[in-house]
Amino acid sequence: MKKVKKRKRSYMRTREDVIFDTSNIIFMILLCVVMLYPFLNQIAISLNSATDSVKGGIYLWPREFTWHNYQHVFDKASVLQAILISVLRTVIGTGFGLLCTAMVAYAIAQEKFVFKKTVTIIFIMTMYFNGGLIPTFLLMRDLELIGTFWVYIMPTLISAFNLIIMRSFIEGLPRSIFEQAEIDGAGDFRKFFQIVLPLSLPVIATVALFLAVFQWNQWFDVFLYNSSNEHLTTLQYELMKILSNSATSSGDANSAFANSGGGSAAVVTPKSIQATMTIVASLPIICVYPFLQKYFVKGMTLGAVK
Amino acid sequence: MQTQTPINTPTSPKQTKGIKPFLKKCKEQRALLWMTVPFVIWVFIFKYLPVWGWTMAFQDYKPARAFTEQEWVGFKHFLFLFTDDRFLGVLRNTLAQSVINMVLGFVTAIGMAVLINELTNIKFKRVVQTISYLPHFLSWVVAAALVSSVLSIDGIINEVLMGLNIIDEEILWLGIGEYFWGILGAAETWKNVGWNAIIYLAAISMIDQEQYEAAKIDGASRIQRIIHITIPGMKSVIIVLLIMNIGYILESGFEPQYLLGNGQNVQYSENIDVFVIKYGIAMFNFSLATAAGMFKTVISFIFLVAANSLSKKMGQGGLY
Amino acid sequence: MLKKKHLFLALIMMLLLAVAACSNNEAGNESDSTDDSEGTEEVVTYKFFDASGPATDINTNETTLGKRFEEETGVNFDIEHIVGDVNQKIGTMIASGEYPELLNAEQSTDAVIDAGGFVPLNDLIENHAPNLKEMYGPYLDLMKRDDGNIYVISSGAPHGYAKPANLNQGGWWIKRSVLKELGYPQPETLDEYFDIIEEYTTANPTIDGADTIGFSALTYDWRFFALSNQPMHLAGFPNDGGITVDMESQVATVYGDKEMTQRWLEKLNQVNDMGLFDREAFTQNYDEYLAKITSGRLVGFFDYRWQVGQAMNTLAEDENFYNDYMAFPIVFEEGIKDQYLDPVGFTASPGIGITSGTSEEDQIKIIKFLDHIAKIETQKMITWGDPGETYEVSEDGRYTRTQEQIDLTSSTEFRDEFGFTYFEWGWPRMRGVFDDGNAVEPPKQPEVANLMYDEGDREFLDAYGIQTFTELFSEPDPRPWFPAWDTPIETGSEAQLYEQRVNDLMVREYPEMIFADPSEFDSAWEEYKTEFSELPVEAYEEVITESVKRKASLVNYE
Repeated sequence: MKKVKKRKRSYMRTREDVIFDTSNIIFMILLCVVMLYPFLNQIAISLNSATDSVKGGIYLWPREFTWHNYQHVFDKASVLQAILISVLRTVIGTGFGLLCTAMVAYAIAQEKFVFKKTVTIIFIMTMYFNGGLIPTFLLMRDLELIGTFWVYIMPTLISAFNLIIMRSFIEGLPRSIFEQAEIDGAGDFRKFFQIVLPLSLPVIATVALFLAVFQWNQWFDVFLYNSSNEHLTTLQYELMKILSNSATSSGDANSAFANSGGGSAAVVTPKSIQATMTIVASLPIICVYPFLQKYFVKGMTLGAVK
Repeated sequence: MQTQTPINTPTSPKQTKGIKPFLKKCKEQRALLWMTVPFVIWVFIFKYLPVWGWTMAFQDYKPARAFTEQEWVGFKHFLFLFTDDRFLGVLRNTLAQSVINMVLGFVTAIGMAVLINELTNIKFKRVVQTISYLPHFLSWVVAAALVSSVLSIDGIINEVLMGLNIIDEEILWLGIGEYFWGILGAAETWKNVGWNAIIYLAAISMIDQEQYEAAKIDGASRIQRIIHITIPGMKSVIIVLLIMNIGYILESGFEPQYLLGNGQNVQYSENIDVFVIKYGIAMFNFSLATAAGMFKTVISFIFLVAANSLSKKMGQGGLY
Repeated sequence: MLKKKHLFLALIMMLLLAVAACSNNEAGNESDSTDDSEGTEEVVTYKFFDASGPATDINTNETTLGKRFEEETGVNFDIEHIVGDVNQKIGTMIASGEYPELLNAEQSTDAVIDAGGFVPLNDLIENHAPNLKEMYGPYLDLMKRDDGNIYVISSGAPHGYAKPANLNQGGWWIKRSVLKELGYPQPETLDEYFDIIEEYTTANPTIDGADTIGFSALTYDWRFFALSNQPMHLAGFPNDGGITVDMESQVATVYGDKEMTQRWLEKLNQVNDMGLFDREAFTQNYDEYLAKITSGRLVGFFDYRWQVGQAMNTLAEDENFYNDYMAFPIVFEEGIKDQYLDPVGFTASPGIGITSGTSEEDQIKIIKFLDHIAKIETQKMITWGDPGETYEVSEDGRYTRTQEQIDLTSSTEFRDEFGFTYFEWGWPRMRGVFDDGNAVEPPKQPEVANLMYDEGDREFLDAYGIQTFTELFSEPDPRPWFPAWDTPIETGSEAQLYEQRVNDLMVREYPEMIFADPSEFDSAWEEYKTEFSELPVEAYEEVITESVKRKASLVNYE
C-alpha cells in the first residue's frame, strides 16, 4: 500500500480527477444519508415510549425517551444463553463452512481434476431446487440432528453460491505461482493451505461475511428443529418470540378477556419491539464487516509470493 | 431460447481413455478426491435425498399418511396453477420484477463498487462501505414500512415534488399499479446495493495494482482506467453471477411484494410466490407449493443451461 | 507469509475451542434434562404446545396459579407457544408423529385429527372429569366430530349472558371532540353518520394544520374484513363472517354480491366523491392506520375494538380525552335492530387435546388436571384471582375491584407472575355469569366497569344519558349457531377455495368501485357481480348452512 501511495503523489492530479473525486464524494455522502437514515430512525423509535410511537412521526430523535423497550428485550434470562448460541453458531458455522467451501472450490478449480465438471454440476443444481419443508424435517429427524446444536451447522455446510464465487476467484489466480510450487514438489493439500488460502483473502473475507451474516440471521431452523430446546435457542429466535408476544401484550389479540381498561404504561407494541430488535440483532453482526475490510483494500501483491 | 441444448453431462474419462488410465489418474489426484468426495456425499444426503418430497406435487398430500397411503392425483396441482385465470398475469409480474431487479441490481452494485474503489481516502472509503450495506440488515417488515411512509401522501417524495412544483397533486404511489415494478426495483436496490457490491469490491482488490500504475504512466484517464482495467478485472465474477442469477429468473422474492402489495396494485404486485402463499401454504396445501417449486426448478434449469452455453459460445467461459 | 500462517492457525484453534465449548455445553444440558423428565412420582411435567397465540414460554409452576395447581394435582406443564407459521410447525409434527402431550393446534386442528394425532376424550371425560362434564354439559354434543368422538376441548362454554360494559366488537367510531362540537348528536343510520362527518369536515377542513380526514378504513393484508363486513352489520346481523343466517330457515347466504353490499359501496363511492373518504385507505399499512387514529385528524371509522387496541390505549393515556373515540351502532335505516354485540355462542374448535402416544396413565393425569381447572372455585380463580387480593366480595356476594386492584390486575408483570396470562383463556373455561350472578370476566361486571371510567368517559356517558357505553347497543338475539365462521372447512375443498378467491376479488375490486366516478359506479358494480357469480358460492353456502343447522339442533341458549 505504501508503495502505491508514494507513487500516486508523484503524479499531478488533473482537473478531470478533481471533478471526478469531488462529485464522487458528494454522491457518496448523499448515499450515506439515504442508507443511514433508516437505522437512525429505528434507533429513535426503539428509544421512544411504545404507546407514543403508535402516533407515528418519529424521525431522528425520540419524542418520549425511554429504555423500556430494551429492558423488555433483555428482561428474559434466556437471552444470555441465546446470545451465546448465536455467537457459537456464527463462529463455528463460518469456520467450518469456510474451510469446506474453500477445499471443494480449490478442487473444482483445478483444470486437471477428473471430476471437475461432475462435482461442479452436482453442487450448482442444488441452488435451484429443494425438497421442501417436510422431507427436510424428516431427514433431520432420521439423522438425529433435531435437538442438537449441529442441526444449525450440518445442513448449511456448503452453499453452492459461495462455492462458485470462491472457485472463480481461485481460477483467477495466475498459473505461474502453482507451477513454482509443483516444481518444489508440493501436493494439493500443501498448495491449498500455503498458496491458495493466503492469496485468496479478499474472497475468503467475502464468503466469511456471507456465512456469518447467514448464520447470525437464521431463526427458521431454530423454530423448526429446536423450538422446545431452550438451551439451543438463538438471539434471533428469542427476538422473534418477543416480537410476536408484543402483539398480545399491546392489547391486540386477547384484550377482550383481560382488563382492557386503561392499559398499563408498561406495554410494548410490535412497532417499538421491531425497532429494538433491529438494533439489537443487527449491531453485532454489522460490526464484523469493518474488521474484514482490510482484506479488501490490501490488493494482491504477487511480488511478495514470487 | 435454446431449449434443445442438452445438459452437458460430463463424459467421464473412462469412456474415452479406458478404465486403467482413469484409475491411475484418480490415484494421482487422491488428494483432490479427499477434498471433494466427503462433500459430494454430504450434498447427496442433505440436498438430494429430500427431493423425494417432490412426489407430493402429484398427491393430495396429507402429512400424517405413510407414503403408500397418499392419494395420487396426477397433474391436478399443476393444472390448478397453470389454468388459473391469474396465472399469466402472475407469471408476467414475476418475470418483470425479477428482470428489473436483476438488471438494476447488477448495474448499481458494479457501479457502487467501482465508485467506492475510486475513493482515495481510506477511512472515508471504509465508512462508506459499512454504511452502504446497513439497509441489508433491515427486515423487509421494517424496510417496507419505510418505503410506504416515504411514498405516502404526506411522505417526503410527494413533498419534494410538490415543493418543486413538478406535480400539483400528491401522487398515491402505491395506489397506481403501473408504478409498482419501479418502486420494487428501487426498494430492492436501496436495500441491497451495498451488500451486493461487496463481492465486486473483493474482485477489484484481486486486480494487480501494477496494471493501474502502468496505465497511469501511459496517460490513461480515470474513466479509461475504470473501463479498461477495473471492469475487465471483475469480468469473470460478473459473468458467473450473471449466469447464476439468470437461473433465478422466477425468484423475485415475496416479502416486499406481500408487504407493499394492496388491492390497487395487485395486478402488478402479485407474483408466483405470493400466489403460492395464498393458495398453498395458507391453505395447508403443501402439494401446490411443491408443484410450484418444481415448475420453478425446471424453468431455472432451462435458463441456466441456455445462459451457460450462450456464455461459452461467446467465449466468456461458463459456470461448468 | 508468516503472519498469514498465524492467522490461519488462530482460526483453527478458535474453531476447535468453540467445538469443545459447545459439546461441553450440550453434554451439560442433556444430563440436566434427563433429570427432570423421569424424576420421582410426585410431580409430573408434560409438554403443552400452544399454537393459539404468542406468549412467553414458561412452566406453569413458575406462576402463582400454576404452582397452586401443581400442589393440588401433581401436574405441571412446560408451555411452548407458536412463533412462526402454524401450518408449517404443526405440519412437521404430524409428519413425524411426535407430539407434545397436550396440544392446541389452532387452525391446523382438523389436520391433526385427520392424522389421528388426538386421542378421543369421551371416555376420559365420562370417567375422570365430572366437573368438565358439568361445565360443558350441553356443548359436549357440539364438540363431537362426525365419528362421535370429542378430540379437543375449547375454551368458553357459554353460561348465561353478560353484556360487556365496553364495546369489544365492531362499531362506528366518531372522535369525541366532533361529538362535543356538534352538541352530542346520536347517529343511528348510515346517512346520519356520514352527515355528521360531512358537517364537521366542512366546518373544519384542517385539524392542527393537517387536512381533516373524514372516514378511513383498515384494509391491510388479512384485516380486509374490516371493510367488507359492514353490509352485514348495517343490515342488522352480528359478525358471522362472509354470510348472514336467516333466523327462521337457518340458511346461510353470502352477501358479498347482494344489494346490501351494493348499498354500502355506493355510499362509500358518494362519500369519496364528497372528498370525505381517505385516499390512502387501500395503500396504508396497519401502523399507518393506527397512527392516523391517534393523530387526531380522523373524524370517523368503522372497526372492531380489538383491532385498534394499540391506538385506543395511546389515546386513553394522553391527557386530552376529547381525542378519544366513541362508538355507535349504525344501521342502514330506522327499524333495523342493530346486532353489533356478539350473541352467546360456542366455538367447538380449536381447543386443547391430548395427543396420541400419551400413555393411558398420563392421559388420566392430564384430564384430571383439566377437570381441576373446570371446578367453579378454580374458574373464579383464573378470572378474578384471590378474594381480598385481586377482588373484593361485598356483603350481598357481589364481586368488585378497588382502583388499586384494577391497576394491579392490568399490569403485565402481575398478570404474568400470577398466571392470568396463561390460565385465563385457552383452558377449560366458562363464559357469561356464574350461578351466583357475578360475571365470569371482571371487565363485564358492571361494578368493575364503572370504576374504570374516567372524567372524560363520564362527560360523554352523562351527555348521552347512559351508564355504560354499550347501553347504546341492542342486546343480541339468540343465535345458537353463532359464530358461523367457526365452521370447519375441509382442506382442498371448493368452500376453502371460495374463501381465498372471494377475498382476492374484493381486495382487487373494492377500491375500483369506491374510487370510481359516481356515474360509473353501476357498471363497476355489475362487472364485480359478474366475476362474483363465477365463484363457487353455493358450495360454500352449503357447508355453512349444514353446520349452522347442526349447531342449532344441538343447543338452545334461550
